[in-house]
Amino acid sequence: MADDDAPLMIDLAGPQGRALLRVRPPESLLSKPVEFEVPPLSGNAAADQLVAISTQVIFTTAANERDGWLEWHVKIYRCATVGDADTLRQHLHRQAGALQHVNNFLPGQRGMAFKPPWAVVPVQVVRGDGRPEELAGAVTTRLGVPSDQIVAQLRRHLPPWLGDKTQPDCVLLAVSPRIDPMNWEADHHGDPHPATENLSMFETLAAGLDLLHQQEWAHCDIKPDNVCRYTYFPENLPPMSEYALIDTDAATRTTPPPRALRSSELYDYRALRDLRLGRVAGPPRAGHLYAQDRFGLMLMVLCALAGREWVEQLALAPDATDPAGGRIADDEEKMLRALAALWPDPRWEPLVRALAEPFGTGPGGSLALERQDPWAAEWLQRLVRAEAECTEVRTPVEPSPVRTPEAPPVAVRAVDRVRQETRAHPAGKPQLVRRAYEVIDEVAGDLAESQARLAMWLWGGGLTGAGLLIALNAFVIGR
Amino acid sequence: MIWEEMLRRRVEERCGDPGEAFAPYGYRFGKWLDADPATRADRDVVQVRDAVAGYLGGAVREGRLVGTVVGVGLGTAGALIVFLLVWAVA
Ligand SMILES: Nc1ncnc2c1ncn2[C@@H]1O[C@H](COP(=O)(O)OP(=O)(O)OP(=O)(O)O)[C@@H](O)[C@H]1O
Ligand SMILES: [Mg+2]
Repeated sequence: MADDDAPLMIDLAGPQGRALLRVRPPESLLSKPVEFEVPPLSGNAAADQLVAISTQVIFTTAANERDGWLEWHVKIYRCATVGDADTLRQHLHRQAGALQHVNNFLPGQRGMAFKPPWAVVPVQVVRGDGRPEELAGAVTTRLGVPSDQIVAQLRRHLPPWLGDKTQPDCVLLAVSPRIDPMNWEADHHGDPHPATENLSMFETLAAGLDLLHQQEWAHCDIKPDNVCRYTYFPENLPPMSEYALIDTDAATRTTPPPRALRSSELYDYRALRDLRLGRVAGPPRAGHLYAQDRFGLMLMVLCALAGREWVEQLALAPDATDPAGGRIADDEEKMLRALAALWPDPRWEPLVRALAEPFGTGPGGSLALERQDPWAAEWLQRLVRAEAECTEVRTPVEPSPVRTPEAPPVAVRAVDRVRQETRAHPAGKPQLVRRAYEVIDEVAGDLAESQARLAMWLWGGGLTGAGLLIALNAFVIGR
Repeated sequence: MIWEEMLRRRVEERCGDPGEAFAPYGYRFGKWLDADPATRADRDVVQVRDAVAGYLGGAVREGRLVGTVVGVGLGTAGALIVFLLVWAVA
């Protein structure tokens, strides 16, 4: 008996619990054609020949009613044939396995299917025909609908898009935890300092990228829309915010490399851009794909430090002075100059040099980017160290035993008030920092005012009193 | 009141914009915001905390200076008036 109001559910059962996702109807029924180049079904001959698969894709969201992350992103693929669906499923499944491996082997805490930390959002593949799908040793997924009702269910939930003829076994779903999108705008326009408080939020992502590359996979589409942030609450530690990659279905094996890359062009690595523009002959090499990811990471770090606008309007815009049509970001020297102009304070120089170096062609540039050896985590460490070098110049390193110039005790007591008022409302780190500046301004004004009033009363009252005493002494008591 | 506005402006001139004053501390500033006051602070946190105290200390000194100047002025005038009043009455 088919229940007409039954929601579309997805059941994920893993070693650390069970998630039950209630799929919401899509907000828009606009579907998007997406092309894949994937290895043929295993067992078939010519395994190094990739096959092309065309799909129609639509996305929606889901709410988790059981364990783990609350909000989920649901991507629904419609293939032309059952054979295509099987081939694509195998590919998405391997892709999900590579992502799971990355999260499982992060330094520090182990990322899980339903629980952060993550360097890339974990993906679970769900079959549209109601059969269970198992990711080796991890999560078993299935549509939470009795199999004889699946056709009716899918049609009811996705009617115009699915059409009358689509069979459920041509449909695949991919679900991932939905994390916070960022706009990547600079916090202060015209701020002459890099927002280095964001630097450490890349640490997990960078380590994850190296792990992905070690398995001969590459994300290939690292850009502002595909880097989101999540906050999590590790046991016995303060809450942590970190960036993670989303939109992983363009991730590809680097061997053999695909003939064409599904990327967003603007953020393409130099060699791939030249390929796309027909300046050199293809196909891409595996090293280009590693470099593509690292180039994306370098630009994302710059988005966090300088804002997306600077990156896209300046670093990635064609350089008018270059007859060959290169971009500023294609040249270390030009990046050095552009960054130095952005943050003119000479003390930022060590950071600027570390940021610009990989944009070059030397051993710290494309040579390193195109090798499979881990690179990202170490580069990020270098940035953090360079940043420390910059700030150490301007502030005394060791607080000296005799603290000079001692702040008045009222000021020392007010410091905690600043922190408390700033933290009164939960907010993202950049907003908190901006709020702290406002609070400091306010508290400084309040302090100055109360101290001024006190001094006024003391001196005004004291002197007037003294005048009175002198007068009384002279004219009243003295007589 | 007018003098309070003027005082706040003077403080801003003397101590500088907090954004500019603290941006050089980079991520350490955020670390200080997150730090738990109950636990022992590390070097980064101590650095920022002292810098904030120093900034606020500047404001305190500026307030005292302005208050003293105004107080001495008012006090001198008050003393003179009281002196003359008592002299007239007596
Ligand atoms: N795990 C996630 N967390 C948060 N937002 C997500 C997540 N996955 C996707 N999104 C957002 O949902 C929207 C649709 O994403 P989806 O990956 O389905 O398509 P897309 O971004 O248009 O694909 P592509 O970038 O490959 O062209 C995008 O705005 C994307 O940023
Ligand atoms: Mg996207």
